[in-house]
Amino acid sequence: MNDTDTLQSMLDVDRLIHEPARLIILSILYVLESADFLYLLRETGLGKGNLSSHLTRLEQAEYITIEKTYRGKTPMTICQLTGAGQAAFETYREQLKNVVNTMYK
Amino acid sequence: MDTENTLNRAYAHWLKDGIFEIGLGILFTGVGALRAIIHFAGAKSAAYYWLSGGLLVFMIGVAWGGKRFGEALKERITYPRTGYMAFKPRTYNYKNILAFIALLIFGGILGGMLGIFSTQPNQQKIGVFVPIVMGIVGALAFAYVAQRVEVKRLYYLAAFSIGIGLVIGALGVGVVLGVSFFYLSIGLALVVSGCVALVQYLRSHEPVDLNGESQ
Repeated sequence: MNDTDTLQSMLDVDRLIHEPARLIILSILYVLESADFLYLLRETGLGKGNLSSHLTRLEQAEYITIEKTYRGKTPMTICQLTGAGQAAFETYREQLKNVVNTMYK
Repeated sequence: MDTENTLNRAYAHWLKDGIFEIGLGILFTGVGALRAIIHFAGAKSAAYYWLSGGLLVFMIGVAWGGKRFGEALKERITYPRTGYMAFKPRTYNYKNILAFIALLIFGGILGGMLGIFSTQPNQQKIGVFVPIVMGIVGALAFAYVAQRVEVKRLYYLAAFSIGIGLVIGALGVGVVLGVSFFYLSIGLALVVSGCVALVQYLRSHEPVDLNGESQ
């Protein structure tokens, strides 16, 4: 693949992941087993409604699963990266790395 | 996409409430105190045998019960305030297995050395050296975690570890008592540090009510 092809591959990146808020969410879920809504709220700095809508989009794409549950008496909305989500995130990361490397040659 | 940094932030979140420190502190304090009592009880007394067995039961009990109790505390205190997250299960790759073997060898050497030292006639001289070394090793461990997760109070524990190692070394109480006092002191410092962290955490974080939100 030559440099032009590599740069053009930027057009092929997963746009669902490319959105900054969703990228942050996936980056957090990628290193963890699972996290709840409140943890993601604090770590991302997003508003409740905003975070909720991004999570719904990621769930619709089957990149994450959302489960409403209880731990003790505390109600929780637990999010977890799926296998498809992990693969998509790794592909996105690789594509972006190639593009950035080409830019700084 | 700094995954290392994201993971370190998760570790910092996990340590923020001080619950882990309190648990670890109780374990160290108990081990140090029991070991010191065993020493004072004398090698051939009935208390020696009872307490030696009790020490093992205490360690297993704290490790088993502490995990469940800590989790219950986090459910009541931490999750409603700053949220829940779970780390990925440990993967047994080549690097982790090597690190585990290295740790076992290091622990074995350290345990063997302490065993040999405790039977040497010149206890006073060796008793100076052992707590100082333990203080330095403890300080390195605290400092490593502190710089990795950026939890400032662990630097104070690192400084305390060196300080208490030097003080116990200077007292020259012998190897067994020196090690016991070291564990006892570090344990108490961990409990105090954890309690201070817990109070600060409770003051700065109110439970978040997410009811009615479109999660």
